[in-house]
This record gives sequence, C-alpha cells and structure tokens, in this order.
Amino acid sequence: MRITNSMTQNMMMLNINKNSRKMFGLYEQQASGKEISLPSQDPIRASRILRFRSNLDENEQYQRNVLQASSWMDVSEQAFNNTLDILKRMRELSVTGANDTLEVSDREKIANEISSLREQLGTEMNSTYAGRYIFSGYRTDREAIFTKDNESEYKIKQKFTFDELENVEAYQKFDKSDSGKMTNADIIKLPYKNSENVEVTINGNGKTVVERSLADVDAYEPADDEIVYIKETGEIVLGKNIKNELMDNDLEIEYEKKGFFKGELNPTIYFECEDIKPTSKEFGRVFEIDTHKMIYEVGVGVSIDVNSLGKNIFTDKLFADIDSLVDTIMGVTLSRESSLREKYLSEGYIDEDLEKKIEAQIKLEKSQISTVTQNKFSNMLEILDNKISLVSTEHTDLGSRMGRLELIDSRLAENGLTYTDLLSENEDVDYMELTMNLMTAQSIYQASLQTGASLSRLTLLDFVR
Amino acid sequence: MIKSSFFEYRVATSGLFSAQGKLQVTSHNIANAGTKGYTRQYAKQRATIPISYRDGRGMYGTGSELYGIDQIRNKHLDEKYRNLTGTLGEHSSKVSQMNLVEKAFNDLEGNGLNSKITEIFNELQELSLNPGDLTVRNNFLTKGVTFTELITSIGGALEKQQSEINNEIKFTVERINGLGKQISSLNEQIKLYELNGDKANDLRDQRELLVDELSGYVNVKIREEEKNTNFDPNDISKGLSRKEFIVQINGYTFVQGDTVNTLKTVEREEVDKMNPNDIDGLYDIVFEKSSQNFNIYSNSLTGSLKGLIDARDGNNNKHMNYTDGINSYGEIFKDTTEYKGIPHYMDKLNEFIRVLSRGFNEGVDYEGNKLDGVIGHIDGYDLYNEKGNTLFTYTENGVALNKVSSVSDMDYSKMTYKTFSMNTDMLRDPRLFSASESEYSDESNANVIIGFLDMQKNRELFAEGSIENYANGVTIEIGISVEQATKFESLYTDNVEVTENQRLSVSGVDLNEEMMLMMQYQQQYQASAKLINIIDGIYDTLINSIGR
Repeated sequence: MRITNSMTQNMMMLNINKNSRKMFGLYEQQASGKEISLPSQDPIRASRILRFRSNLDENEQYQRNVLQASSWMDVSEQAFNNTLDILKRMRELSVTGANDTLEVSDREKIANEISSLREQLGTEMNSTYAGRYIFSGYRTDREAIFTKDNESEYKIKQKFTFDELENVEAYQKFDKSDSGKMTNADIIKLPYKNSENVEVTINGNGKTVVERSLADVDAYEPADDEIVYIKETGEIVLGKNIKNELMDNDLEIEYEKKGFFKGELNPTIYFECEDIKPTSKEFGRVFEIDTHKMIYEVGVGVSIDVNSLGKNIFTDKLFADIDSLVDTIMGVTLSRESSLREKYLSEGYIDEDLEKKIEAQIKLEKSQISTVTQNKFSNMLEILDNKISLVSTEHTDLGSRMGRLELIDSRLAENGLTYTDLLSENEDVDYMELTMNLMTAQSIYQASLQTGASLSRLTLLDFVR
Repeated sequence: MIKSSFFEYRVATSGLFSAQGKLQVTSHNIANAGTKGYTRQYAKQRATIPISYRDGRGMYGTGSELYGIDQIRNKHLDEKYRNLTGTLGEHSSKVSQMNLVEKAFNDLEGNGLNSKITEIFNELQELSLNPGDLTVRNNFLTKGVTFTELITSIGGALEKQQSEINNEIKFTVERINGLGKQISSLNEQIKLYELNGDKANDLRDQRELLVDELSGYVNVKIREEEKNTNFDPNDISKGLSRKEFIVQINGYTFVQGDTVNTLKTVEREEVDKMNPNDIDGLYDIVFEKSSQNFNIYSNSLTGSLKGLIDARDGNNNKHMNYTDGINSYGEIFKDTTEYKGIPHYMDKLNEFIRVLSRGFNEGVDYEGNKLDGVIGHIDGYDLYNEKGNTLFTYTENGVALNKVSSVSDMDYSKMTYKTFSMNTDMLRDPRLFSASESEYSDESNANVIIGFLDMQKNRELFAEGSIENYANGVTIEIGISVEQATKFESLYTDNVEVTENQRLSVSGVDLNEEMMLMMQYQQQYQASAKLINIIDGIYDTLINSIGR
C-alpha cells in the first residue's frame, strides 16, 4: 500500500484530535468534579444518578418530617406527664375526701383544690405546638377547652349505653315532712349545665323529657316512665321503665347549648354537633366525630400517626364527674339556703320560725350530706383509677410510636449516608484516578504531537543534493 | 527499408521529449500535492512503432512517445466513501441538533423534570404537616409555578430548536442546489474538452470533489454515459464524444449533463402538519420546475438532510395518548420516521403534564382509572369549605381554566407545554388549595395531600410507571439516543477517514515518490541529451573527419 503525504497528515490530525478530545473530556471532569454532565455520556449511570438524587432529596424531606413529628410528640408527651401528675394528685385528694372523719368544710377545701386542678387539666388539653392545638384532631385551630366565656350556640348530639348509666345517691333535699331524704336515682350526666330543648330518643322513639329544678321535691324521683332533666346540674334522671328499655338499646340525647363559660368543653372537638347560631360564619355546619388521624409520611410507604386525640384521653365524662363532685360539695349547702328560704316563705312561715327551721334543716342535711360526699369521693376514686389507667395506656401508645419514630430516624440517617455514598460513587470524580488518567492522556497527546512533527518534517528532498 | 541518416537523433530526441513531458506531469503533481481532491496524474508512455530491417532480421526501435495523461482513481472507493460520508452526515447532524434537546431535558444539574417534581412533592410533604399554613401553601404554589415555567421553557427550547433545524434545512437545500449548478457547469466544460476523447483530469477532480461534498448532505448516485455509442477516439469519422454525467440524489435525477433539476423549499400548510405541536412554516421540499415532491421521509435518504429531517419531524411513527391524533381540520396526523425527534419529545412532554395534571386534579391514572387512596383536588375542599377546582390547568386565549363544575369540563388535549398553568385564582389566594377531603375543611385535615404523596410513588399513574420513572425515562431516552448518534458519529468518522486514506493511497500525491520519479526522468533526460551529444560526435567524425 502506498502511503502518501496526505495520508500521514490525515492520520496524524485524526489522532491528535482524538487525543485532545479525550483530554478535553478529562479537563471537563476535573473542572466540574462530576464524571458526567449530560445523560448521553453514560445513560445507564445517568439514570442511576437521577434515581439516587431523588432518593436523597426525599430522604432529606422524610428526615424533616421526622423532626416535626418528634417535636409534636414531645409536646404531647409533656402534656401526658403533666396530666398524669394532676390525676394522681386528684386521686390523693379523693382518698383524703373519702375519709369519714372529715368535716364538710374540709371537704370543701379539697373540692376547691380539685376544682383548680380541673382547670390545669384544661390547660394541658389546650397544649399547642407551633400555634396548633395538639389534642384537637384536625381542628388544630380550635381549643379543646374554652379559655374564654363565649356566645357560641350548638346543637349537640350524644349517645349513651346502659353501662354509662350511673346509679347515684341523690340527696333529695326536701319533702313535705321537711326532712331530707336520700334517694337512689339512675342518671346520665350531660357535660353542660343549663342546656335547652333536651330531646331523648331510644331506639328511634322520641321520649318526653320533663324539666325540673333542684328545688322540686321529686327532681330525683321520676315516675316509672318519666325522664327528668335537671337544668342546674345537667343531669338526666331516668324512670325505672326507661332504664329497663335502655338495657337493649342505645339512648340518644340531643340538646341545644347557648353560651359557654371558660373551662367548659368545646363541643366541636368532643361531640357531634351543629352550629346553630344564625350570625355564625359556620352556621349550619355539622361537626362530625372522626378519627382525625394526623399521618406524617416518614419513608416510602412508611407513615406514622403523630397526634393523640383529646377526646380519647380526657373524656367529657371526667369533667362532668369532677364538676358534679365539686358541685355536690360546694353547691348543695350554699345554694340551698336561698332556695330553702324561698320555699318556706312561700309556705307561710314567719321569719323567726324560718331561721329555726332552716337551721334545723341544714343541720339535718349536713349530717346526711357527709355520707353523700364521702360516697362521692369514693366514686371519684374509682373514676380516677380508671382514668389514670386510660391515660397511661394512651401514654404508652404514644411512647411506642415515639420509639418507632426514633428507629425510623436512625434508619433514615443510614439511608441518607448510603444514598450520598452511592450518588458520589456514580457521579463524583475520583481525583486520584482522574489525575492518573489525565497525566497519561497528556503524555499520549505530547507523544502524538512529537510523532506528527517528526513525520512531516523529513522528505526525500532532505537527502537529495 | 533503409535506416535513414540522423535516425538516431530522432530516437534520442523522442527520449528527451518524453522525459520532459513526464517531468512536466511530475511537477504538476508536486504543485498540486496540497490541492484538495487532486488525483495523481501520470503520463502514458509507449515505445513508438518500430521499423524492420530490410532483410527481415529484426526491428529497429524508434524511440518513445507520450500518448496521454491519465489519472489514478478507484470508482469503487469513491462510492464507498460517499456512502459513509452520507451516514456520517446524518449522525453528526443528529448529534449536534439533539444535543440541544438533551440539554433542555438535562436533569443532572438538578434543574430538570424530575428534580422540579421532587421539589413539588417535598413542598407537599411540608404542607401535609401544616396544611393550613398559608406560608407553606405559598411555598408549594411557588414550586408549582416553577414547574410550569420549566415545562414552558423546555417546550420553548424544543420549538426554537425545531425552527432552527427548519432554517438549516432551507440552507442545506440551497447548498445542494449550488453544488448541482457547479457540477452542471463543470459537466459542460468537461464535455467540451473531451469531445475527441481526451481526459480533462483536473476538471474531473473538481467535479468529484463537489460530488463528495454533496454526498455529505444527501445520498448521491452518479453515472457517466457515452451518448455517442459509435465513438472511437482513433476514428474521427465516427463522430465526437458526447459524454453525459448524471447525478441522482435520494433516487431523483438531479443533474443531467448541463441541466439541474433544482430543489425548492415550500412552507407546509397548517392542514398538512405532521405533528400536533409542530411550529408553523415547516418546509417541505419539491422540485422547482415540476413541483414534484421530494420525499423527505424516504427510507433510503441519508446525509445531513436525513439527520435534520429526523430531528425536526421524527415522531417514532406514533402519537401519544391524549393526542387524539386528529388536527383541527379533521386530518389524521401522519407518521414521519421512526426516529425519536423533536415532535416525539414534544408529545412526551405534553403527555407528562396531562397525566400528571389529571392525577392531581381527578386522582386517576393515564387511562382514567381511579387511583387507590388518591383524592383529586377537584374532590377536595378548600379553606372556605368550598369544593375544590383545578390545581394544574391550561389557558385558553390566555385565560386559565380555573373553575370547573365537573371533570368533563376539562379537555386535556388542550393542555400543552404552551398552555400549561397552575390555577391562577389559587396563586392569588392560597386558601383555595383544597387539602381536605371533607366538606368542612379543618385546619389540619390533609387527606388530599396525603393522597398526592401516595400518587408520587404510584406505579400505575403512567404506562411507564411512576412519575419518576416517566420523567427520568424521558431524560434517559434522549440521552441514549444522543449517545448512540455520538457513537455512530465517531465510528463513521473513523470509517470515512480509513476510506479516505484508501483513496489517498491510490490517488494521493506522494512527494518522495514524485521526487524519485523526478530524478529518474531527470536522468532519462540527461541520458538522452548525452546520447544526442554522442550522436553529434559520431556525425561530426563521419562528416568532418572521414574523407578529409
């Protein structure tokens, strides 16, 4: 084969070109620190890089989610701890209160303290994280316990079962013979006092509700088929037949509550209810009772519930029980005097008789009330024990979720490292290797230049004279 | 026959002349050693007709003569070279055109489809933790807008590239015409020079060079016909030579002798658009005089023209889902070529946003089947407790379709990278983002968002799998296509070079060789001159010394 001048020149240029292109590629890698900058340089590797990159991005997001979840849960846990402390203190007080040697005034003091503890419970219920109420389910913009008196109006619907029926020793204050009387009554406690339009339905059948006041003698002695609503205490007293009917059926109570006091439950968090205040922005809105689980995604296909629901921890029942305890102790004696006076006056007693009568009556009552309140405290003890175990269960549940979150967190941290490594392996330049390659490429380039130069320098002409 | 006197002079002189003639050819070769396309020439030399002794004892040689100058060219190598050049041209132009498309989709720097989508979902994650927080809602919307802008800019880059390729097609056609005209005028000259059988070597070289160049643009076939079938260079009475050189491109006769069948680009009518997203004014190619169509989608087409056509029009011979395949005139869009050119990626981009938007808006997959656990934005409720509207939508006459009463109000075929938009009402008021599945949305009800997060990983959303699968799939698909073209380019560069060297090995000028020849001819000349000198001496002796 003839090798002509143009051939050697072409070949030389082609090779120099190839070598310099290779060197250019290596320089580019050195400057960018990345092995490839366009998918076409290595599509398979590019697809791996893209996958690891988005894995890494997502992983970082999951780590942020875990951080938020754990902050939320920390706040919840603090609230649980405080709540348990409060409940335990209440239990101690109830133990003391159940002691039969106590004077009424001592019990009043205890009731006072329980009442202030109840307020603290409310504060715990209203714990917030980043301005959101953590125990209010999805309605994080609403406090669970009202912190202000307000004029909201709601129609509230509640269901009760036979088990929730309480048999209480009601102190039936007056009868015709002017002597106090103890009555056993089957009652349901509503969480609010002074509700209106109370309607009771059993098995779909509406029942007539009679409204009575504490001052009425037969407030706790309904007829067999009667349902009595006592507005001042929010108690519903069931007649015998009604009670029996309840054995197999649920009882549904619907009532309207207009205006709430500070410390009362926010019905939108606790109950199925409807906003019935015509001037309200949400007039007509029905608040359903849902699970309201707040789910944070903390991994591919891994999610965790972060919130605990207030209504599962501090049931309305607890507050009603505490209120009833406090009321029995505080209210019975105090409010009584004025109603007594009114009653006797209406019956035509004169002042002197009146004072004597009232004094005698109160004395009588006090002796009996001691028994009543003592029993109340004993009941309370039982309720609190139940409550403490319930809160502990929720607390344990939270604890186990926090434990799981911690595992997830360390797993995410590991994943992050792995993905970073994988990404770097695929994407980043190995400078040692690159430097070696670059040096090799440079020497090859130089060699090709040298060869080229010497190839085209000499011709036959150089040797012909 | 008696040998005449001074006969030796003639023999020696013929040697002198032929040596001189060959030196001339050699010097022509050396002078053109650097001329592109130049083919080594050589003088054809032969011994002149000898004369015989009267007594039949043998023959006297009468010297030498040059009877022609020819060139050394291998037609087979030319053809091979041109075929390879055509394929090289096709792949090089694909590399340079599709490189820009690849850059538009490139996600390795974190600015591509999947990166921006991941950002959206990360913002949705944040939002799932604080669904009512207006700042987080705004952050999400900002990411959404960034995404729509990315789509618009990728689409814009594709259109710009299509338009640039279109212009390049016009230039290519003009260049092809120019080459045709030059070839035809050379044909004319060569024909004149070769009327009586000579060979116009240098003009032929120029013509071959033009054909070489032409073969880079389009596939070329050449042939040369002698129209005067009786022509005999030694017998003038049989008539003059009438050679006709014919150039065919893409199977059509382009140059025939001195006539050129020039090409013309004509803007395609709206009704003839091959692809739904094609820009206006794409060129078709026809023959200027006959208006006959130059089939740019022919399978046999090669050269950079093929590369340009593929990149501009290639739609992988199919249209995507949601592209109903019918243009506004009721015509069905046609197949172009199997190549995945710009229209293919336009389709891919549109399908991406259509399926994605439908997933977000309605919670359904690419076939319209409900996705498990995904609640469409339209079925959610905003912070005003109003039913949700579109999340991603499209503009009609510049106005975004924000409110819909039912999903059937939306015609996703109207959603393209040009019209893609977020719900503009929502951009003004982030409260309209419908995070809640229940009519009265509570601050922390994020069930719609949680459904979206499920959708991110759902492998049913696209026929190709998840969002990430699809987005990265496109990036990688074009990466592979460019990689392949680059490999072909480098392979064919080598092949062309090897073939070129094979040609040069045959036709190229080698200075050393020429110099050897030069010395040889010089010596021949010197020897002939010496001979004359000697003969001169002989005759001097004969005439002046003998018989004195």
